[in-house]
Amino acid sequence: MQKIQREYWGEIEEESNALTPDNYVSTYAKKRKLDEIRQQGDPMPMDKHDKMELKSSLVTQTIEVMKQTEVLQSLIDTYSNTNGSSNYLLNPCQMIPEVDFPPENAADLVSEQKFQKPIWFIPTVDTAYSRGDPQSYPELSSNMCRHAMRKAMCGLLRLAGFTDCSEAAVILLTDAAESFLRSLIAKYRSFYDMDSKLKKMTTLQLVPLEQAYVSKTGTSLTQVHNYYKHKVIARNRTEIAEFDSVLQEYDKLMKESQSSMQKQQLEEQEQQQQHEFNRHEFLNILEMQQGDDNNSSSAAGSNSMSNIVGDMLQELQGGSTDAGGISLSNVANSQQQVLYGLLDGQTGNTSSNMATSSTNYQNNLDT
Amino acid sequence: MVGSNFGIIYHPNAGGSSGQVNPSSGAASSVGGAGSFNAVGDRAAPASHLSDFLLQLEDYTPLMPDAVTAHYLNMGGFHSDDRRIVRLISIATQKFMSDIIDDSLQHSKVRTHMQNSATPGGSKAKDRKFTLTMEDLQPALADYGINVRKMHYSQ
Repeated sequence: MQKIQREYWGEIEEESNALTPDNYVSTYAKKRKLDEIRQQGDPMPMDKHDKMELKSSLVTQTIEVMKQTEVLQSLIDTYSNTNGSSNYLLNPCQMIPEVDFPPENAADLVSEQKFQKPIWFIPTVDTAYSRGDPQSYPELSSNMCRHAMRKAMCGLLRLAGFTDCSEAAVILLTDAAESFLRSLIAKYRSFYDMDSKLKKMTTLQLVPLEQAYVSKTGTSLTQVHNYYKHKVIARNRTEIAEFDSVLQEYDKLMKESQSSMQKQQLEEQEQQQQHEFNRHEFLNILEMQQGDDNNSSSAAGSNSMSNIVGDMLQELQGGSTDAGGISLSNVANSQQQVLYGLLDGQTGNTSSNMATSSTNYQNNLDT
Repeated sequence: MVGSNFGIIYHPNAGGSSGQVNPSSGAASSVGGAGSFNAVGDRAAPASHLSDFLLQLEDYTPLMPDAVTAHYLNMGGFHSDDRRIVRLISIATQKFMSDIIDDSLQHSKVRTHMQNSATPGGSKAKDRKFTLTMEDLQPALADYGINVRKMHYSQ
């Protein structure tokens, strides 16, 4: 009877007591290995962080220019009053603040020739890109991808003209983008599977992609060019043109404000000068009067007095003739007589008075 | 405009193609798979246009990073080493989403216009600000075949 040789799984073979050097590691060797590791220094974690940037300079520029236009427009609305197509300063005394937007912000990032000519008229430059040299992309987590897509969606929303968005809508939009990408790639894969040649291939081919895109959206991938030209580039150009026009309008207002401020300052200076001149004139008059008084005070005083009295007399004469009234003429005559009497006896009054007083005094003494 | 003539729509069911015919299939064959595109039928012109377009794609910077597209391509079982096709998918996705957003904006404009016309002394068209809401986004997504269903608890 023949015995069947059986090998049991997990059977422990009886080992001989003599260990070969391959089967054990001596403690001495471990110690040496430890020393080697210590000499190398502490093990550092490998840095696998890759910085991923949303670097569509054209879209970024468009959004920045839109922001700048909004700022300028709000300043124009604050400091001016729009009447028809032209703006007028609300308050000419108020200085409009200067804005500093560097011209690089509105620079033309796209060469004019690139998108004016049809694609087949533009000669292909031999670069690593046009040759299709393979390039590896950094490995990203799904969360990171969703985060990047969310940012991209926010940029697209701003580019389209939305100024605000609800969080739920952005999440939904990100989900929709992810869903589209997944379904497009699944379709792309299905076209690979339909072709026997491509079935086992993993490299990217153009034709199945076009077929997948057409079946998903109903349009060709060449429409992407039209989108980029008419939506992205045209929008960029429109926004830059609008920014330039608003900036010109703001410059005009600022110049107007500066000129009005200068004019106002000149007027103030003139007024100040005028005030100073008037004050000097007033002082001169005072000085002149003081000088006259000093030179001929007595003569002027007598003259002025005689003039005043003469005027009064003329007025009285004129008044009597003009009025022609009996009572007034009588009064005037009596006043005239009194005045003439006063004038005639002005010098001799005191003496006569003194004389009468002295005669009276004499009479009193005599009595 | 020259650019608007570029987009020639390829329909798998339709045999011919509209637009200018470019018989140069050399450029088409330079791109992987374009030869088989010619074999499908009389579609040499779109294939060559597409391959010409693919070579020029370096200047088309997508908003969605290529690394993200490459991630989804890897998940779909592809080896994403061809930058040109990765970029083409990126821009195509951007275009698709941009179309949805434009439709949402139109919905939002109509909605705000209705609200402003209902209230006397509504804001001017210049001062209008548009906020994307679910109300505007859902019908736009539905137009593009993406149906949104709310959970029972949120209805």
